[in-house]
Amino acid sequence: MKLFAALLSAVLAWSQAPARAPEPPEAMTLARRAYELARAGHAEEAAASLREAARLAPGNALYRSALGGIYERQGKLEEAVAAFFEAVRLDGANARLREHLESVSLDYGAALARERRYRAGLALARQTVARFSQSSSVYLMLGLFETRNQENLAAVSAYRRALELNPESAEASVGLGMAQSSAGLIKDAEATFQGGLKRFPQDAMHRQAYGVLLVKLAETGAANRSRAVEMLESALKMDPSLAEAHYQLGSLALADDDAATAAREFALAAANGLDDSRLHYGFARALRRLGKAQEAERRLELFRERKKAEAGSLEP
Amino acid sequence: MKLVLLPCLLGLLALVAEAPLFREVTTEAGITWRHFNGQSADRFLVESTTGGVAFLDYDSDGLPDLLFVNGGETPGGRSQQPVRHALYRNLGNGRFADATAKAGIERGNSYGMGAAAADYDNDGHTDIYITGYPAGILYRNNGNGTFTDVTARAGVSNQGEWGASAAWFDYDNDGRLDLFIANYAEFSFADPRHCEFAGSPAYCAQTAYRGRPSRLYHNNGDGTFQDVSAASGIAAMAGRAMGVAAIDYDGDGRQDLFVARDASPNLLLHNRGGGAFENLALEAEVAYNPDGVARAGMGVDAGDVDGDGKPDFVVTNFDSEYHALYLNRGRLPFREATVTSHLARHTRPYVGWGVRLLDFDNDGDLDLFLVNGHLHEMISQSNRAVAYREPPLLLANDGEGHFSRVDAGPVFQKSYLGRGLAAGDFDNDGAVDMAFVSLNEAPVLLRNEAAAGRRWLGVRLRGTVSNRDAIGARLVLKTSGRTLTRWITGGGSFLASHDHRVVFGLGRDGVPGELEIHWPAGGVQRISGLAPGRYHDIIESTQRKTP
Repeated sequence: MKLFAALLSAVLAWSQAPARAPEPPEAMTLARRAYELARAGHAEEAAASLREAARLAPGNALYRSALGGIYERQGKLEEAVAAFFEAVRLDGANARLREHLESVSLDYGAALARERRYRAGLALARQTVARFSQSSSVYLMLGLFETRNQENLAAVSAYRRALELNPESAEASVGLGMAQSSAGLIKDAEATFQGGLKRFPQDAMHRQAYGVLLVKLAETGAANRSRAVEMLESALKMDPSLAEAHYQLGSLALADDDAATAAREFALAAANGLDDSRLHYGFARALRRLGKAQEAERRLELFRERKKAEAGSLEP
Repeated sequence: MKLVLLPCLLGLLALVAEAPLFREVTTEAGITWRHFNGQSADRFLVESTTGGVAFLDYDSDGLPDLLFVNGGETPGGRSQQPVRHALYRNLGNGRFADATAKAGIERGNSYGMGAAAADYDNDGHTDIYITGYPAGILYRNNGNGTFTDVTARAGVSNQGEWGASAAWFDYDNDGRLDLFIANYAEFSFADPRHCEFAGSPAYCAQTAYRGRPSRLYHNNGDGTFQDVSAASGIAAMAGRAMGVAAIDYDGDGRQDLFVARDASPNLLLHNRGGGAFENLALEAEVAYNPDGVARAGMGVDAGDVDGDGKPDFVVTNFDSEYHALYLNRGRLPFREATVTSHLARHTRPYVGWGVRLLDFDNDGDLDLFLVNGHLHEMISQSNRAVAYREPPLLLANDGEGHFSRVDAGPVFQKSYLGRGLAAGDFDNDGAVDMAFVSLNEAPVLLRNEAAAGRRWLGVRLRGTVSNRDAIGARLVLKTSGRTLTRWITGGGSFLASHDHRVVFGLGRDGVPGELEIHWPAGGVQRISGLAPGRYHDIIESTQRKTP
């Protein structure tokens, strides 16, 4: 309903605006019709009407933003970004419109990340950074997709920029540390995380991410394993719902043949929302060691299902 | 006086410290062949996975010879010279002579990958199977320095497939070697796939290529083979197979297979008898890493790493995945010891290919030789800790399955695009030598000079009831308070084939005691009084079983 209201007010505002470039009257008729169609739930037809209106009045930013709003509601975020971008291009002084384009672009990026469409995500992130070069959030998105595309050094720069733009962003600090780790800049990563612990002492995510890095470093003898455990446990003390920390502690326990602790931690990870192939595989192994063959088999079945889904969601 | 002697002593110590444990002798051995992979802007993935090598005694003179398998031209990657394989005859004086033309194996019609050498027809002459795309070639050894392409008659062309490693082994214990070919993926030179890495043209990830089933051929004993991939169950297990090692991991008398696969779960093919195999990799916990991720398995080898008499497996993987060690506890699952063995520490930045468990210093423990090399030329633009060209690794075993890195000489400080790796004692001094292929350059032949002052016992088995090469035999030697267990494995490493002889390292003063040989056909022979410091030919007793 919010959308309809926005659309209505946009169109009405346009019709009442004192000064505007001349445009064919059919364009406004089409826009009004689009509003009616949208209100009646006919989004496709409304969008078609607005596309035609925009074609007849190519200088009208509101038709584009209204079209973007419909696409957004339909979940067509790629089209929504394109429509809002056109609107911003036509009405560059409209701060709210720019804000909305940034917001929709970030939503679209999040959707692409969920779908593991990392190449498309990287293209979007680059475009968005070019449009919003002072936005920390947009650089966070760029860093994420650069990491996923193995452009790790570029990701380091992106997260560093995100942190410069918003020094209070714990997310940027965590991202920077993780990107540095992926880029093989281990000392830098440790320095970032240690700095982050001081700057964000109450940020549990920071501790969780640093703990994950320490676990990896401990595998190669580059860190003390007990420090990794301490870090993960301190994260959980602040926020017991951190699924990844539970998963990591479960994996460490399983490596030590402590299946009971492993199963407990994996159960907590699952209870807190972790539902990926890693979890179900580790859980199955722990349950098998505890002699719970049927439960282990159920977990293996979930592992296979998740595995298939994860592979299927990858880009070609 | 002491002051005068000190500089001399220090100089001597420096010389000793600098003496390589493995010395490169490629040029002085007369090896001039170079590898060629046909790399072009098309970046066909096959280019990045080629380069086979084999130690084999093709002329039965007791001196291991060397075979190098070349890649080939691609639509956009042409060679100025003919692209040829090379067979080098060991002259016995540290030099090799190019015998390729006479042997008649210079060029096949396929893009070459690897080799598996064994006497499949039990006629006393070592034959050669060369894998490749889109077919493999079986060369029968005529016994006079020449080979005949018998692929069509034998029915082992593996037509249409991209064959990687292969292994000769006798899965039904009928005394004849069967053939397993690790097939990789669907592929065509007509279908170049263009990808980028760190913003530059690069090979597409392996997951862009759908995995294919591997193939098993049963040796009928009359020069022909039967494709039993479907009947054995193997045809149903599609995936990107790269490496294979054949060994009886559970001691039930039947040869099993470990198949290393690239971003497909590894296979542990338990031989159930009756020609059927079941995949127990999931139960064995060797299919995936501890996070349930199928690593990029390339090469695999088997041997007793921790001295408990049971065969363990080592698998080479991609950078950051670590090369993996799976310890056999006599029951499933195996115990993954990648971290506790320190393999994770030593292999994290490397993309591994050829791998061999060998006792390089003859101290009685199986050590590890690995060759590495990345696929992506631009990798260090993405990860500063990883390089395109990578060094080989020699990792010494402390006897309990913990490895430490050894600086074994200049070759180990250089970097290569290592692929196939084979082991063989080409100078018959009881110290196992190594050879490996690096993409688009000369291969590397390394003489082992690490075992000086160590005692050893060498054994060459000749099957009579079992296959003549005794592939699948288990040898147990008692020596000075220790028991050493070794196997003659089928396959092992990546695109490679090894000297089938077994060398037992006895340390500085070990004395060989009783040697127990468990032949693949089931017989057990016990022999005592074998003199150290030489190879012994042991022929299988025709009595089938010894209580």
